[in-house]
Amino acid sequence: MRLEVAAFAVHHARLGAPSAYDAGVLTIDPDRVRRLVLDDPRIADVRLELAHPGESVRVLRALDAIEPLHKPGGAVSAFPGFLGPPRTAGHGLTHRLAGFTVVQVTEFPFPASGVQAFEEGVIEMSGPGAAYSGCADRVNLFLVLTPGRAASNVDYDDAVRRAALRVADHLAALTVGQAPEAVEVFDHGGADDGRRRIVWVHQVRAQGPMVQSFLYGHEISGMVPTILDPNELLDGALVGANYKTGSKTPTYVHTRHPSLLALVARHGGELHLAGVIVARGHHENEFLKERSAQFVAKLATLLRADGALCTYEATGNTHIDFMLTVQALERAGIPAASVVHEYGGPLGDDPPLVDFVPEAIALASSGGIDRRLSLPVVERVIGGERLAHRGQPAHGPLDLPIQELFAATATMNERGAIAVDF
Amino acid sequence: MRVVHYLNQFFAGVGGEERADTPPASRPGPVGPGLALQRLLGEDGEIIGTVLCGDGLVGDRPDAVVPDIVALIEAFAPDVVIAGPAFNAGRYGLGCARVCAAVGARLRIPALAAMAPDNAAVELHRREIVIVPTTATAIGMPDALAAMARLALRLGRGEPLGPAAAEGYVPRGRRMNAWAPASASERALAMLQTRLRAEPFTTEVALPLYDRVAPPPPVADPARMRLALVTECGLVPAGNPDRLEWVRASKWLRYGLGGVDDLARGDYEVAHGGYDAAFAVEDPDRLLPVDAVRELARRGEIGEVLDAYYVTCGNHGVLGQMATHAREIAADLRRQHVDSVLLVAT
Repeated sequence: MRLEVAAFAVHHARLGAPSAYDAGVLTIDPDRVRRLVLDDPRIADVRLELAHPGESVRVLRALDAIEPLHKPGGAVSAFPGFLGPPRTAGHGLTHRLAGFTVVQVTEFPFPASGVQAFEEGVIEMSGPGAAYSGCADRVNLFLVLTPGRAASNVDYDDAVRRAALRVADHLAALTVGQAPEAVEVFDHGGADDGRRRIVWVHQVRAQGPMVQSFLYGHEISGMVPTILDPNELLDGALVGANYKTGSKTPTYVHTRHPSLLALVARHGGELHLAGVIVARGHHENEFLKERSAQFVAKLATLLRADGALCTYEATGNTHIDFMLTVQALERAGIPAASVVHEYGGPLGDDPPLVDFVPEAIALASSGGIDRRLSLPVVERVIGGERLAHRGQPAHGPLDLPIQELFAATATMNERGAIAVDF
Repeated sequence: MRVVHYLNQFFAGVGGEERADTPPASRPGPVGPGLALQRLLGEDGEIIGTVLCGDGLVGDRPDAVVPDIVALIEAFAPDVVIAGPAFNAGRYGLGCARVCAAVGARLRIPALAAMAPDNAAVELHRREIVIVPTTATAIGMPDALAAMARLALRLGRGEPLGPAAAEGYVPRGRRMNAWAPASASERALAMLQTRLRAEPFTTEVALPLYDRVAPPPPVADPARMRLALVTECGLVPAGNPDRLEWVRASKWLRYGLGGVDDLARGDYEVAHGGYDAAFAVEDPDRLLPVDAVRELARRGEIGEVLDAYYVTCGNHGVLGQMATHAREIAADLRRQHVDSVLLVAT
C-alpha cells in the first residue's frame, strides 16, 4: 500500500474571505465555516477563534483536535467512515495542513455524572504549561460551539465531531492544485529481507460515550484487536473522542503518532514494520482484558513479529489491559518495549505505576503527570470564564496537576518527557 | 568551605568492637580516612573538625547520643557534613544516616553519607539524606572518598543536585520530570532494537518490588479460632473521632465491638474516598460483617470473635506506609492472641 502525503505547513492563520492557503498562510472564511458547521441543526451557533504558539491564551473545554487531511479526487476520503464511506484508506495522495489543528470547544447540553461527566482539557499556548499541553506548538482554529436540537449528549457529540471534520476537510482541500513543500512516501509492503519484523501495538481507549475512539467511523467498544496498515492511520482511520483531560489521544496524534513516525522512518532500514495492531483499552472485567491481550499476542504471532512496540491511551483501568497485553506478548515469545506515563504524586515519591507484570522489563517513561504547575494570568481565555470541573476563574493564576492539561500524556511522549530518579 | 567529618570509633582510630561504647567526641582537623578526603577536597574545602562516636551507642541509643553528636558538629559551624564511608557495616551505616538526617533536620546544613547500597540504613534513610553508594568493603575507599568530596563541595555551595544516576548518589525515592532528546516512543523502539540484538538495555521505569504474600492454609479447626476483623474500608464511628484520612492514611485505628452484635445504621460512617459507600451507610455490616461473625460464633461454627476491629483507609495508600500499618496491626493482633483474621477489602 503506497501513500503520498503532501505537507502544506501552516505558519499563520487569519480570518478573511475567501478561504485560501498561500505559502504558509491560511485564510479562513468565517461565513463559509459557519455554514459548514450550522448545516447540522444539532449545533445552534459557532464562534471562531485563532491562537498561535506563544500567545497569552488559555483554552478550556477543548474536546478533540484534528490536523486537516484531504484526499483529492479519489473514491476514498480522509477520515474514512466520517467524510466518506468506510473504504480502506492509506493509498493514493493525501494533502495535509501540517502544524495546524481544528479544535472543538463546547459544553454539553444535558447534565451527566460519573464517567460521562465532562472533564475538560486545558490548552496553554504559552508559559510553563505549554510544554505539557497539546496544540501549544500548533496554529489552532477553535470552533466554539453552542448546542442546538440534540437529543442527548451522545447525539450532540456526534454532531460536534462531524462538524469539525467537515471544516478540516474544507481547509485541507484549499491546497488542491498547489505544489507542496514536501511529499512523504509511505510504502510498507514488500519482503522483510531478513530484517526484524516489528509490530506497533496501539491500545486506544473505549470506556463509553465521552471516553472513546472511532475506527472507520464507528466506536470500538465491541472490537477485538485488529490489524491496520500504518498508512490507514496516516489517512485518519482512527478518530479520537476521549474527553478525559490529559489522558486523551487527540486525532492529530492518531494521524501522526510518534510511534508510527519512529517506525516508518526505520522501515526498510533497521527494521521491517510488520503492521499495526489496534486494541481497545478499558475492558470492563478480567475476562475481556485477558481475551483482548490474547488476541494481540495471536495477531502479532500471525504477523510473524520479532518484537512489539507497545503504547496505550491512559489511565488506571486501561493500564491493566496494557500490562496483560505485554505479558501475553512476552509469553508468546515476542519481546516488547513499551511507553508508560507515570503517576507518583505531586512530589514524585509515590509508586509510579498502578499495575505491572514481571514481564514488563523494557519501559520508556513519558514523565509523571501528577506533578503540579503554577500557571500565570493570561490575556485571553477561550471556552468559558471558569474551569468546568474546578470552578476557578479561568484567567488565573492557576495551580494544576499536569494531567489536567489537554492531551498531556500524548504530548509528553511526543516531546520527550521522562521521569528520572532524584 | 567548612567541612565536618563524622566517623565511628574504628575509623577514628579509637579502637575496634571493644570500644563500640565510645561516647561522642570531636577532634580538630581530619582524622583517618579524613586525611585522604582532605586531599580530594583540595583548596575548596577544609575539614575543620572530626566528630566520632562508638557504633554501639549510636546504634542502640540514638535518641540519647545523636543530639550530642549534632551539638559537637554545630560547634564547628560547618557548611557541609560528610559521614563515613560505612561500607556494609550495619550499625556504622545507621549512625552515619542518623547523624546526617539530624544535621539536616536540626541544623539545616547539607549532609551526605556513604555506604553499600544493601546496607540496611539505605532503605531506612535514603529518602531524607544523600547517600553515596560504595563497595561492601573498604577496598572501594578511594572511589567513595572521591565521590563524597565532589558531592560535598556541590552541596556546600548550595547547588541543587541533578538526577541520581548522573550525580552518583542513591535515588532518594523521588521521580522528577526532565526532557530527553527523543520521544518516549523513539526511546522505547531503541530499547526494543537493543533487546532484539541481545545487547544489554536499561528500562526507564524499574518495576517496584512488591512483596508476594502466599495465601495461608485454611484454618484447621474454625470452631477453636480466635477471629479478628481487619479492614482498609475506612469504616469509623460517626463523626470520625480520630480523623482517619480519606486518602493516604497516616494511621490505623482499633475500635471496640464489646456488646455489639450488629452495626447500627447511623453509628458509623465511611472515611474512605475511593468507592461509592451508599450501601454501607445503609447497613455498616455489609462492610464489616459483625452480624455474620457473631451469628457463626453463636452457632459454634467459629470460636470466639475479638471485641474490637482494626481499620485504616486504603484509598491511594502509600505502599511503605501501608506495610508499616500492617506490621503494627499484626503485632497488636498477636498481643490479643488472635490466630485468624477476616480481612475485608474494598
